[in-house]
Amino acid sequence: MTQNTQPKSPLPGAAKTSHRRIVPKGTIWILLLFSTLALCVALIGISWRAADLARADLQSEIREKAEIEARTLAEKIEHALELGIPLDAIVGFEDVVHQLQSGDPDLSFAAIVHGQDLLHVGGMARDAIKQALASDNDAGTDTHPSIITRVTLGHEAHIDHLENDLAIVIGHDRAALMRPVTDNLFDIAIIFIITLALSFELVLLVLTVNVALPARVARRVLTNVRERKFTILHGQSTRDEIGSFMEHINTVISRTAQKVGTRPHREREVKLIGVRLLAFMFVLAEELARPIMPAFFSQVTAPTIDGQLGAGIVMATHLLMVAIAMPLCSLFQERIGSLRMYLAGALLATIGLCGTAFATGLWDLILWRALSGIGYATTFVACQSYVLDATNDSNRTQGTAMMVSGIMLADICGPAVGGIFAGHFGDAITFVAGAAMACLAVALAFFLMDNTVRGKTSPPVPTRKAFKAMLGNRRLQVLVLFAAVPAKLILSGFLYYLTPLILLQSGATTAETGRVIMLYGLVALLTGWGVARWTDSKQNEIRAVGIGGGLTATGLLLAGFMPQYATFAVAVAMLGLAQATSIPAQLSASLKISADFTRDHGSGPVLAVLRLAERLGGALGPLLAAGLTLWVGTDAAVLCFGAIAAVAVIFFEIMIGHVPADQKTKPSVQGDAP
Amino acid sequence: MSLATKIGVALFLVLAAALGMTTVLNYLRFDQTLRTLVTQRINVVSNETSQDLLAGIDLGLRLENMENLGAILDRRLGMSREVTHIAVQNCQGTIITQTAPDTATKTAQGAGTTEVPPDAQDKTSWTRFTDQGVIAVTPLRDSLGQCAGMLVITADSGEYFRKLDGAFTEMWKSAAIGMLAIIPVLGLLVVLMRRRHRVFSELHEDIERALAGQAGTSTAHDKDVLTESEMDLIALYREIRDQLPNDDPQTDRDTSVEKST
Repeated sequence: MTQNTQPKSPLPGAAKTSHRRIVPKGTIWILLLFSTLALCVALIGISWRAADLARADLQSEIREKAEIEARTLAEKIEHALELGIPLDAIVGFEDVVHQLQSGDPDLSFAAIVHGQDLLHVGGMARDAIKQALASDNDAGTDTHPSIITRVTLGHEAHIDHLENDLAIVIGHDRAALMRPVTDNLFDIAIIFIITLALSFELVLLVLTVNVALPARVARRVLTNVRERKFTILHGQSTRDEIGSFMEHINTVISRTAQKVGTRPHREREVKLIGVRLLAFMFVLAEELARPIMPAFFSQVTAPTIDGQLGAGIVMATHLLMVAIAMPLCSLFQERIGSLRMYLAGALLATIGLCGTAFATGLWDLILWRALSGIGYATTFVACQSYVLDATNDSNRTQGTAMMVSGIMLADICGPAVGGIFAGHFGDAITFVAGAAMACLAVALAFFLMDNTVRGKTSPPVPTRKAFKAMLGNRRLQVLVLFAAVPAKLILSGFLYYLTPLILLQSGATTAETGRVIMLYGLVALLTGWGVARWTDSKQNEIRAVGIGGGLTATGLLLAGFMPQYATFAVAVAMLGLAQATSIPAQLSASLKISADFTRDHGSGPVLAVLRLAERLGGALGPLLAAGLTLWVGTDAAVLCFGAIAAVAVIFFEIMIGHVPADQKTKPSVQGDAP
Repeated sequence: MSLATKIGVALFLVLAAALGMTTVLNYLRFDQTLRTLVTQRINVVSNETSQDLLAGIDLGLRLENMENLGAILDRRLGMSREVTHIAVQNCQGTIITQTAPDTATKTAQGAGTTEVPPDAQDKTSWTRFTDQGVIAVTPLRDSLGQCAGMLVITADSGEYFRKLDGAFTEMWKSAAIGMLAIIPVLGLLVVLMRRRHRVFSELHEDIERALAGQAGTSTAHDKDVLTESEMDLIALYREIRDQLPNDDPQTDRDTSVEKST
């Protein structure tokens, strides 16, 4: 059987745009709706039970800890009384409370009480403690901001002096003391979202491959018959009803084609949806170990150099390798082919992650991480080039957004799952799990990636003249300088540097900070495909890039003027929406702007330039953020980033439309092919 | 494998994987939190005890020479009902003194002190969960940062494992009940796929009639298919049905064919 692929494939659900229905045609939506509801009900039930267990079993553990602290204090007071020190002559109670607080920062106050009187207090002012105790009596025990624990003093010595209602009272900040349980409940919610998203991915893959693609190819074959061409056969392998129906049609076509002396070829469609899963897997392989990387690298490199420095060097090496390998791979992507490139990348990532798990010192760790970096970059480029080859101008942004969604999902799932996994199985096993994931991606790539998506011919290598002409394209320059570089600069500088720094400084916990950062990926994941569909329908990628820049600037300026937890969450969510709008559109826009070049020399060199610029922006971000923090402080640094975003988008909007007219329709450079 | 079986198996696997993953992750997270809380609780006892010991060490006393060492440990033992054994060891791991609620425990735990690794003094505090108990080791250092000894607290891990086992059973029980949700989904799938099958059976019949040059069959069930693409496919087929080259020489003569370019 000869297989001819159809490179410029429409995306799932992208076929009809003329008339939108609330309920899609066909009965599959009933099945999907029902399955989703069933899954949600089952997951909510399990999550609810887990939350219930956490509340019941873990809260009692927390209360026990408070009781132990109260008994510790009581034991000290009783010891003093045993030594014959009168209760009112005891000194240094406040110091003892401070000592306890150094071991348990959640402890707010402690007091020796007799009836309603406070004899000795520590940790808080006497009036504040009195108020806390009074409101504890009034309010319900589960709503009071403090958890009050009371232990009656049992030594006989004090009975001579006082009534038998002498007690030690300690108060813990409820939110702080219950934090482990609260974090646990939040994680249950995150696990719920992750599982739902992953299930959606798998069902989407199964239905697209088994239902949508065969029907789409069959439609194309019948259209061909309607046009009386009889040149294509249904080649999407399927043994169901459509398959056997189309076998009848194939027989008719073959017979007719034989009569007229033509030879029809088998038509099949590229499994573009598969690249989403592949993108998800290669990023997940890396992201699983993300939460433990600094500590693990520090521990491994500690015998050679300072652990912190060692971890920094190892992580920088990885980023450097990604930055170098991405543009290089882009230059060769069309010669090597997406499948081979993906296989090579995933294999390198597997070796790198496995080696990292068993690294013994600084130098071998650097080597393994460098390999991982090259593998990551290679697989990324392979997926992106696959999408570009399988789409055209009308659906390229959607194709890119589909891949980006897979990456975003892995960005969300990886650290969350990896953190829990590492906590139980250890650091090395987590890296091995990442390697296993990369290895699984190698196996799946054979099924999910079509080898001949583009065809067998690769475009000629660009000459220096052609390359220079491409770099001299003013519109591309504007896109790179005022959209691509600022987008990555702000992403790394604001999201990965300033946001954690400011939130942690303002008293948020690591888990709370992590949840705010997770909002970025979640919003980008949920909005990415819809926004890309809108961009493709309007065929105005430049506008989408501008809107993305505007959203970024608005969010950052908002966070700069009101640096609070809630506004940061809004700014991060807006950044997620902005990047989902802008990043896939940047890619499509760069190829459209450089159409003259890509027609003759392929998309590789343009993508290489774009990626190099993006990586440069990504590297500059934290440096600029750190410099601004030292110079003007963290809050003002966010404002500066907002101003940079605003200036960049204004310049972009002004300059992208005001370039010389000849550059918009510049003919291709003559005689530049080798 | 038919499409119905494929989708059915896929839905079953997705649901099973989703519920399994949620249960495993929730269980691991529960375990992590429980460990944190038990460790925090033992750390309270450990901090208090080591502060008392360090007060003596800072005065220049060696642990071996502290007369009230046993009394300190005895008092700390009463702080928590789950602490079963407290021992103070020298830097080589030899027990200087120890205390436990009863002699049997003391002997048993005393024999178990070899579990503390020899390099424990070089590390910061650590806690290990075993079937025998929760062992928390805190190195004691003098004002010059030199090793002065080690405080080893052993707590009963029975409650920890009991809670963990309880959570494991309960969570998997919920997952098993959750799997029952697949039954109505599969039921719906069977109904929908039967209706779809009927459409394609009719199409099969129709195409055979078309090839024999006979009139078409009913189109009443054409909308029972799964997707819009399938509907378009059937509509296209209905449109071209009468133009298909057939076995009837009369109608076949009318079918003109364009060569592919």
